[in-house]
Amino acid sequence: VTSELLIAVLAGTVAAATPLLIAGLGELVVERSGVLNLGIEGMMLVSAMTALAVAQLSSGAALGIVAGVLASVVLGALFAMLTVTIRADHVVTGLAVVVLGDGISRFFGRPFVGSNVAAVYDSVAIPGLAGLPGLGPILFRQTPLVYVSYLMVPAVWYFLYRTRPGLALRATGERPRTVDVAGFSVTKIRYGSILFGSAMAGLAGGYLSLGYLHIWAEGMAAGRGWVALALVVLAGWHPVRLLVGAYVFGFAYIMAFQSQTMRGFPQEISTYVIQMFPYLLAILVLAVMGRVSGRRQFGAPAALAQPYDREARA
Amino acid sequence: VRVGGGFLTTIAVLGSVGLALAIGAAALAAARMPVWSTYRTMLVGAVGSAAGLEGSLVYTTPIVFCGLAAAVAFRAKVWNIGGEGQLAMGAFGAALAALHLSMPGPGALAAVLLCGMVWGALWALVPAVLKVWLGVNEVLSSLMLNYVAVLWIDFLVFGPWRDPGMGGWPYSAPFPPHALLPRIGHGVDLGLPLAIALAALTQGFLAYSRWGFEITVVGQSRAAASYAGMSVAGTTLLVMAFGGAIAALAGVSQVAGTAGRLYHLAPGYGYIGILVSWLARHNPLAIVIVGAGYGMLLQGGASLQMVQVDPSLVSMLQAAIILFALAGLTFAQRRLERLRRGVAG
Repeated sequence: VTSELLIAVLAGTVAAATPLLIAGLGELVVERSGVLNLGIEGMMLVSAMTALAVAQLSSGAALGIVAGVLASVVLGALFAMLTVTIRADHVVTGLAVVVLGDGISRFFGRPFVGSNVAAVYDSVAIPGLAGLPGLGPILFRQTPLVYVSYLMVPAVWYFLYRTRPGLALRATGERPRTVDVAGFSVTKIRYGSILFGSAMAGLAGGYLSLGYLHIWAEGMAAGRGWVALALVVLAGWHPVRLLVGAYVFGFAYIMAFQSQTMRGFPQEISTYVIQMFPYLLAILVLAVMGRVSGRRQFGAPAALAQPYDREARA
Repeated sequence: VRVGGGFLTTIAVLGSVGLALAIGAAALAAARMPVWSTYRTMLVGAVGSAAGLEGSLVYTTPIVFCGLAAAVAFRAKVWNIGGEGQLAMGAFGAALAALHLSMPGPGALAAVLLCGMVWGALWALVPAVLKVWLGVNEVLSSLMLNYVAVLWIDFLVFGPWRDPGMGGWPYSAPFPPHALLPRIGHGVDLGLPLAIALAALTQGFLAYSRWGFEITVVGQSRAAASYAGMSVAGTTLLVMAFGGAIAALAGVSQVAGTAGRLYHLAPGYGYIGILVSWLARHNPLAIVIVGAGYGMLLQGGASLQMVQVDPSLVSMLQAAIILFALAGLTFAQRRLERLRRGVAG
């Protein structure tokens, strides 16, 4: 393997991992507050379509990303209203949000299918760092949202483990009643985390259509939202382990989708079989984690997916 | 107080349909499309003619199968989100039997049904075994397997099983005639009565059999079930295998009924089935009724192409119905609980 090919593969890995990392970090915060948001896939689709549509109509990529995030946050607010205020079932609400997001993006995205993106979200080389041998082209010649993802990992870690609101958020995922008694609002914390998580899913979706694939195609998230959900479990609900997991899966995606164009790769393996790889890897890693940890789902917030009713008898 | 439960549920579901139609109207207006003529086209397309009604029933069949598959698992509080993949593997099993087992006469259809159900059950057992032995969350594992199953069918119909006679289209060779589900109308085949009979059987099984009782107890309290000597692991494996076999029938009815060959299969019935089961409160006979409603919605959506409205309007309507119903039913249930608590003291 030449070093040029290696650098290209690793740079591709970072680019492919970014939507998983961004959406996964958002979901990690949501789940740490005790809410299971299965709707990420739908939020990513709505955002990817909205971002591309707005970018096409206004020819501004940054404006497109903002619009995508806003569209995703609207879905997030709906999800929060149902799961936190009305206390509906998290799993069914999440699935319904996926169906809704898929439908909205198909319905309003029809005029944009197959159109060439005029306002591509271009990669920006970071002065100084981009010149580093090896690491420069891999890490520092990417689109700005990739740099955002680098910064979000320590930011989320710091917030969760080194600030009082972060502590309250984590406690809400474990024992919401205790947090309530201590004078925090479980409702506000959960709303806040859901809105943050949906904004992150929106960023991931906008990155997908404007910064990565440069098209709108129906259902183009292709399970990335679900893979992000699996990553949160694999990472044991910790942001730094999530970073590692996202890059492993970014590599799996690059292998699955670009191996066909690589020299020396056996061409007789069907592309459909290769595309199964990320999903099978996710199941395999979930199984190994189950075996290793012994305890069921190590690190899972104790109150995950349980609606909190402050009037219920404890 | 109990008498009010079914009534409140029905009101909540019907109200949700009305509100969803209002949301759909807003979406149509936003996309500058005519509201009334669109809805009229859907209604006429779904129930306005014999052909339309048959079309609605053709859509109803796989939805009822997938709804039942979800319901049995949910009764035991096991989340089977893998209906879509179990459907695909059922279709694979059916095609395997139809194309590669040369069974004579009526044996062919029996082999198609059986082989499909076995593959669906095996596919569903993967997340079940992972859950029971390794504690893997079945929501994620069953969902990931949907993508794998759909890719597996794609691999076959774009690769080794592609019929060269079809001019390069991704279809398998046609099934032999006696491997097909017999037609009982122009478009409706034996799948529909099979689905309805299965719903009745499932209702009886859940209400009156020992296994049905154990499923209910495990669903209400894992601890109580273990204490009573019931096997939680066994029940988990049972409901997943049973659900996989039923969801597989949806796939069998697609390839051995409507199409008569294997093709790219990702119809979304597996996901719709979960939502239908939830709307029907996991009650098998209610699933038939709600499933018929969804069948009409899909058939109405299919007729929208004539007036150049995107059929994806229907997936928005479906999602809006379930979201409103989630709100309404959760409220209704809480109200009932409060009333009951009030009566109890």
